[in-house]
Amino acid sequence: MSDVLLRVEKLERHFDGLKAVDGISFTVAAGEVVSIIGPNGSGKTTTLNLVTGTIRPNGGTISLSGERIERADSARIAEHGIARTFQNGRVFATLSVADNIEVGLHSTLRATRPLRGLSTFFLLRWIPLLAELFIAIVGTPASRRESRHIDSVVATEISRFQERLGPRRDEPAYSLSYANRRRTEIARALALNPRLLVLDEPTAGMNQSETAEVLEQLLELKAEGQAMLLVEHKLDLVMTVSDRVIVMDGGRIIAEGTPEQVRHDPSVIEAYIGRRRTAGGRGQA
Amino acid sequence: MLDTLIAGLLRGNVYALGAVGISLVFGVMNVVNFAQFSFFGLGAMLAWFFITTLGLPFWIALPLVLAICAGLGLIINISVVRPLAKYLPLAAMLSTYAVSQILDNVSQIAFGAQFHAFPQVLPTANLHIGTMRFGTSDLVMLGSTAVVMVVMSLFLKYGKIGRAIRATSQDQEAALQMGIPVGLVQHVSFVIASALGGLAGVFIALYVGVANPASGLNIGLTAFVAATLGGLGSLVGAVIGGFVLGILEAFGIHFFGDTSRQIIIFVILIVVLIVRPGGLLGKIPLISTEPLTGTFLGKGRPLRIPRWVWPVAFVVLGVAIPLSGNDYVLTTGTQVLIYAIIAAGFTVTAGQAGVLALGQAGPIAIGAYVSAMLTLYLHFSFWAALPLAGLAAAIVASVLASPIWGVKGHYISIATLGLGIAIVAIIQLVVPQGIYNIPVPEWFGTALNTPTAYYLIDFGVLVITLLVMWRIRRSHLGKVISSVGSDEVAALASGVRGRNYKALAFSISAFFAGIGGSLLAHQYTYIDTTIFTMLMSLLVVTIVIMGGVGLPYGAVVGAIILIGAMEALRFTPELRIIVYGLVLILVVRFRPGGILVRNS
Amino acid sequence: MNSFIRNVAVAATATVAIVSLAACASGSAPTSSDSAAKSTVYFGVSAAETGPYAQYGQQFKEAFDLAVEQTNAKGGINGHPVALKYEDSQSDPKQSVAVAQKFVQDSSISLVFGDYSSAASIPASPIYTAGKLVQYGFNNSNPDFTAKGSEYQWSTSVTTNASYQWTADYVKKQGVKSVGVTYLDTADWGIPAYNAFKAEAAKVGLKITDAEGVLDTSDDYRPSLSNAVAGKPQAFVHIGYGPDAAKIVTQLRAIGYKGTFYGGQDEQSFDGTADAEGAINGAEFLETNPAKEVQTFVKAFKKKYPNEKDVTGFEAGAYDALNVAVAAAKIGGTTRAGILKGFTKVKNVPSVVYGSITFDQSTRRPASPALTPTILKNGSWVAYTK
Repeated sequence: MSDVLLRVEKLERHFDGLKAVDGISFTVAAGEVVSIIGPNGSGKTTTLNLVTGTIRPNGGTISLSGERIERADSARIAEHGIARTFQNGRVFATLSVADNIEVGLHSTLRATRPLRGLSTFFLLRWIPLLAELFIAIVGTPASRRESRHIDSVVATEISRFQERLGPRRDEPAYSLSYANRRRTEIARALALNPRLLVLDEPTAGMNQSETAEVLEQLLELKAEGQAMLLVEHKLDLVMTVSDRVIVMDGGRIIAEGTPEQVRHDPSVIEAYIGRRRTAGGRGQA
Repeated sequence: MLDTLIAGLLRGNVYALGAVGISLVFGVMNVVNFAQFSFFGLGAMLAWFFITTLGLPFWIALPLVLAICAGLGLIINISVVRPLAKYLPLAAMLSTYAVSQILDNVSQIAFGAQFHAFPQVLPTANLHIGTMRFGTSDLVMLGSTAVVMVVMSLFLKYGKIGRAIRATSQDQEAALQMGIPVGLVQHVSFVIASALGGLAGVFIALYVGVANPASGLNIGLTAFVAATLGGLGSLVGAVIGGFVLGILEAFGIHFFGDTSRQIIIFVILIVVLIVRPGGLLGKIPLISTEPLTGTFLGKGRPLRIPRWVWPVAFVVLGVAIPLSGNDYVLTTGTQVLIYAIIAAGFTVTAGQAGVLALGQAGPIAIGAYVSAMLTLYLHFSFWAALPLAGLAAAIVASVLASPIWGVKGHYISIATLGLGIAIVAIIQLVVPQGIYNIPVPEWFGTALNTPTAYYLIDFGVLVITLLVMWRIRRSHLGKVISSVGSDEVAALASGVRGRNYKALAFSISAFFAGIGGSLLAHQYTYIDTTIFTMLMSLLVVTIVIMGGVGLPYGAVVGAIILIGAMEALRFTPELRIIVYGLVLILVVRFRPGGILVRNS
Repeated sequence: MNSFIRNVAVAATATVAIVSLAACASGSAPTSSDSAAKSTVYFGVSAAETGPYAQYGQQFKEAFDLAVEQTNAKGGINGHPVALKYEDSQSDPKQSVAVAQKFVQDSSISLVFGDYSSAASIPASPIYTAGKLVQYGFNNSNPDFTAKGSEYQWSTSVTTNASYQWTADYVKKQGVKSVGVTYLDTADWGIPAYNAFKAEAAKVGLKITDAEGVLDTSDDYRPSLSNAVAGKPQAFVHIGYGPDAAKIVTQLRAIGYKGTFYGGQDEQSFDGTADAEGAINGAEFLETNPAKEVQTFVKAFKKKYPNEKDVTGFEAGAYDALNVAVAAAKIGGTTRAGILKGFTKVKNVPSVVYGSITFDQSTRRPASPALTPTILKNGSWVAYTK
């Protein structure tokens, strides 16, 4: 196995006594695509939320390239290079497609956000904020160069979904179709140039042809060497794109292995596939 | 000590009864209902009218009052609130404000503006514990609160509609899918809340001893804070919040005096919201699941403004009006321009960061006082004091607001409302007297105190404000702030620290509010704290919503309409505010995203 | 449907815009010349007709209208009939400055009454001064209205300082040694009034056991009142208006305090409050004053407004104000400059408040105003002698 990118150990999270995630451990290697599957309520989305800092764990560790991140908030984790999408596609409704993607670039910017290292410190955080404000109003040569860079990254990410998003570049996100919102969200996540891309049911609510399109995109990303952690209900897609599959039930990992191994694991068949819902089901963590 | 405790309990009882109705409507409609405040005053005045003027006995008057309030509530909900609540809670809230203006003024035309001694239909001081007297009326009120609570909770638990109300307040979408008649549920809740408002108004008047049509506002505001304290949407929370607030307030006043009442109330509120962001019994979901809710920002696309409009508007506002307008037009114009400056600066907070701050009067007051004192006592020139006033407003408001940025949703609006009132109350404590003879602007020894000069100064500042706001909107920073307003969770996942950007947006708005305050101070040449009221804060909010909440130039249009309309309606003095309210409702009804925003 | 909605919205917007323009146009229109003989003399009134202070605006209007009627019946100002132009300011400075500007440029206006509150009157003062138009703040008891104003600001109201100095002296003269005090914590009125009271009390040796600032917008004063009477003062003084005094006296009795209540105001909510019975206050105007002018005024007022049960200082002040303005115009002439000149000369104008009014030219207030001690008995104020 190549270098471990993400290492999760004994991760725990409970809600009102209910153990949503109950001491799970797994890894994602650089360039690897790992999927988490499992029945509704098995803890998949909670796991993603924990890895991306959207909620905090009650116990266990998470490290990215050896650096512990389980106490970091999701903004810090984004800065560490983990980008994510959400179950129902959370885009910035009032912003255009291009502006949504530009926000994804936020944590990679330098000249537009001088002294950004101070932005987590009490009081001192006002220094980078005011610097950002100054640059927004007046601008510096470096910030102007960077804004050209922003434009080019946005153009690149849109071109990834050219047929779909290209003509809607300046449309506000709320006016997009559901599938286009999901595409915008993925483009926004990719703009962060993430070391690990975390996708929560990228095809939920999509029809067959749209799903096939997403699969193609994911395979393309995989070919580019993009490491991904994926929660997905559509097993065909999971089996096609994943290097490894993790099966969860009741907050625990009940099986793990290549798609081929998992497909034939009797406990998986019993726990998951036996009572699997049809595609497009609404998974809840 | 015991006296104070009892005083607090009596007081808390009033708040509790008032808070239940507010919480009920909020729970099922997600709308902050300002009209509820009017029902307090209206209930009191109707009861006064039936008992004193018509000579009806109390026990006949009371059901009549409840029936009238309930009926009015239904009409208001059908015609105004519900059609808007579906689309945009913000617009619905604004329209409830307009409704409350109309109700207050109709009531004023009907009953006169005077305070009236409220008939003592029940003894108010026939019992005592220690030296603290209270009356049958207090016990009846306490009993009413208890009965209302028991009946409401039985109704909510076992009644068919009651259960539907609970389901709706938990998850409106899901309730709709389950086939619950959400519309009916909302009507029933609104009717109950309005009747409760009337009931509370009667008891409040009995307790206080006097009433006038506008007397509901202050107690309504406090009851609203109580509902927030308990957790909006939770009825038990509303009652607990009422009593907690009543008792803490009584002790606070005992130790710090009545003058610090408002500071005490809002310090309690802000502390509770920081410790428990959803109020005492309210629940804030860990991650809001609906990306498009939880934000005040609606859908709707700004109208495309043809390029030629900008130079034309510049020439009309900046050249044609100052050259041709008479002094009356120009003086009205200065007010329009100053509010346009304040409101344009406010769009970054309300429209982009999605924080509907309801306390802009606070930073406006800071700017006015700082500017007045710098020029008057330290002999700064107006031109130096103007930006310093903005800076001071930004700094002070940001420091005071710094604890509240973790608070979410509607609660942050209420926290800022409290902040605004508390800032003005603090200024009142520090500088109790008004400030006179504030120097007028000068230019190399020439006093610029003609209406034309004021107008041109304000116009220049407005142009700069719009340019700055335009730069910010177009920048990366502007997009980042908008992302926070759209979806804070997703913004965080993109590495955007929402709290920081909300704080920055608020300080930018406070800066321009301070500038506006400075301009006001130097034109009035006199300021005291009665100028910086909650109505001023609401006017700023109304202006930005009117023009399109995220559009700085929309604020100019909003200011022209709302301030200009008040002047334009002078031909009908009695109906002025009523017509104003109706115009507001019509605009909000048919253009809920703002005048310059196309519906979608 | 959608296009219908859009049309309505556009129509509504357009209406607002047109109305705004129309208002601007009408604002600029009246620049007529009216030096012609027996033309009407116009006085402006800037007051609240709507909003929280509408109560007082209504009271003023009734008295003004009565006084105008009587003046015109007696031949007006040297034959010129008098008329009033009302503008609603809501006693809001944002609007009172616009109203001031409107009056200043309406050349037919030769004097303006108002506004009601200092916060609305004082910001308008520079505009009236610049327009050389007398601003007659007949109701402005804040001494700074005239003291910090220019030669164009005049008032016939007793200043708060004067009336609360009088109160401190009077309470002391009644043999009271200690008082608990509540005062309205307002910059323009309550605080200066309390300071004047405190200074005078210190001078005459009246002990203030405790003073609590209160807000007229509060409804529950019990916590403050228990503090205020904790030192067992012999009597209680409230520095404020009628509605707040009504609440305070009710709650003061509710917490078991029995000493005399000095304060309140001749105003219907206070007059109608059961616990207010026996309250003592220094009055500028007394409805039951047997003086002939007063009784004639009260009778005329009640005849014109049969629904009004009481005639208070607000109506009396407005009534006097119009008569003073008319007297000044008779002396100096009906122009703006003439009226200002009239104010500097006018003497011994019959008054229902003071008997007669002569200005102290240095303060632009009535010279040596006297207050009458009054007591509330059976819901009406009567002269109190003890």
